Amino acid sequence: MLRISATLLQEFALYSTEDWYTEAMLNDCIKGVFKSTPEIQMGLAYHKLLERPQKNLEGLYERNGFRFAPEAIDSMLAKLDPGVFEVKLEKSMGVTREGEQVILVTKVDHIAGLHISEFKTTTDPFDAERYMGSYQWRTYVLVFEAEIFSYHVAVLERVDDRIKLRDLASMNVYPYSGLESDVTAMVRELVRYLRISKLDEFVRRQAKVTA
Amino acid sequence: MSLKIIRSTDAIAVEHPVITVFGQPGICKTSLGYSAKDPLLLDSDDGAHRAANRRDTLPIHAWSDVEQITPDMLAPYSTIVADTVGRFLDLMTVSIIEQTPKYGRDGSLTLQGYGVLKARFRTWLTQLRALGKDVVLIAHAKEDKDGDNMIVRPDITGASYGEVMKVSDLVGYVYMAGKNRVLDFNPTDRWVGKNPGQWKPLQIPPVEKATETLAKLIEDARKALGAISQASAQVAAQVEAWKTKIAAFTKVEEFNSAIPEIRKLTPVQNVQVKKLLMDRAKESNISFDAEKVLFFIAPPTLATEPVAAGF
Repeated sequence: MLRISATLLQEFALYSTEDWYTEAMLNDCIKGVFKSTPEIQMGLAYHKLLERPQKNLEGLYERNGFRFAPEAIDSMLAKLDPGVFEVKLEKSMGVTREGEQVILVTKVDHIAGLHISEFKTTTDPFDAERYMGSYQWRTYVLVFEAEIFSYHVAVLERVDDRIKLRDLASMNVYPYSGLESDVTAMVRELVRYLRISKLDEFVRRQAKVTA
Repeated sequence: MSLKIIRSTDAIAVEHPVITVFGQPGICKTSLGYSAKDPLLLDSDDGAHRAANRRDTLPIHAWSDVEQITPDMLAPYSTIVADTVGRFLDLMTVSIIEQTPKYGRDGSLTLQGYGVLKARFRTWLTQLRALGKDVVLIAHAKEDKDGDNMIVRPDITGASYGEVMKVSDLVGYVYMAGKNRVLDFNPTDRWVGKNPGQWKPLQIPPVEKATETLAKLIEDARKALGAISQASAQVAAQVEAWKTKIAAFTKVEEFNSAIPEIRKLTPVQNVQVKKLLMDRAKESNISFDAEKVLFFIAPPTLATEPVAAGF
């Protein structure tokens, strides 16, 4: 069984289309080599606080040493309908010529009904093109059969001892008639790449028996 | 007028969608704009005179012209067409820099200036929607390099482009396919798009017959967005009902008796309710045996690693 995450598919799409994205970067992603940065750590802390918002005695949201001004968290939470955080779902994409099942593996930040929300943190200005072109949302929408997907992008800046919200940009995208064939084609290309590069072992898992 | 509270799980209809249509010069985008319902075309590009099926038009040469538009002036119209939105935002940029020079540098907006533009643009659209107007934003197309590929997108300068993409419910590209004009809302590797109606590419009738094309499309878009909201709200309401039920669970038996019911749910409901159940179990110090598919109370010394719920 080959388990392809939405993240890996998006990285492969970047490798396929962007000059700056190197094969070494893709291979690190396939092998699960994770290079953390302070920005990534800040993003992780931010996500955790959205799921479990709790202020410290100073009235700031604090997690893993990152201190967020209340507005940074509250403004994002105000964008969400009542729903569920961190929900996983998988979808079978069929069987390869070699007889291996291909599974798309996803975990959304938040879902309310058929509305998926994904949170992003950045210190750069909002880049609509980057999100509209992403295979991440295409994969999530396909697997969850969602009707609407919102990117909520918090543009953050460090001011003194805390992190403040400079901008909060939201953009909706929707499933379209060719979405499934686009994702399927990208999965096929990725699987082919994994085989040729002999990297398929990194995404291979034993089939899990579920009741 | 009586007030009506919309509950958190109720559908919220998008009554006045914002549609962006872009295409090459000369492909009759302005004529298409005139095919909206009772349109007023705000012509900032001096292109209305070339259009077919011309309807009421207001030439716009400076942002101050837009600021002079009153609700009374707009009263007879159902749709406001900004032609072109790129030029509109350029005029807004000039106005912001004229009023506050520190917001400009070399003719472009500073980060703060861009914040002002974003707020003004949003306010303008909000005002139009509050007046009950549908909004059509027309843009020229430009071809940009995107990695190894060329991609066509609306010709809107700088960060304003992102603003238009954010506010637009639908984004469609008009192109020629042989002798036919086609309007495609599907994003492809050659152009950007937003297609909540999941429509196939639409062939636009000849210009002389395309007098209600956008009027019908906007009506269809309204229905499509309403249906999306309704479908999502129905699922959300069912998940919320489960959330309330699960919040009251304290005993292992309650958790286990919920499993057969949760299995009957659709996949998208199932995963949400399952997550709620697993979170509640964790809060209640109840463990889950993935092989037996049963909740149980673990002895205090036994490590309780999180496991996937196999149901």
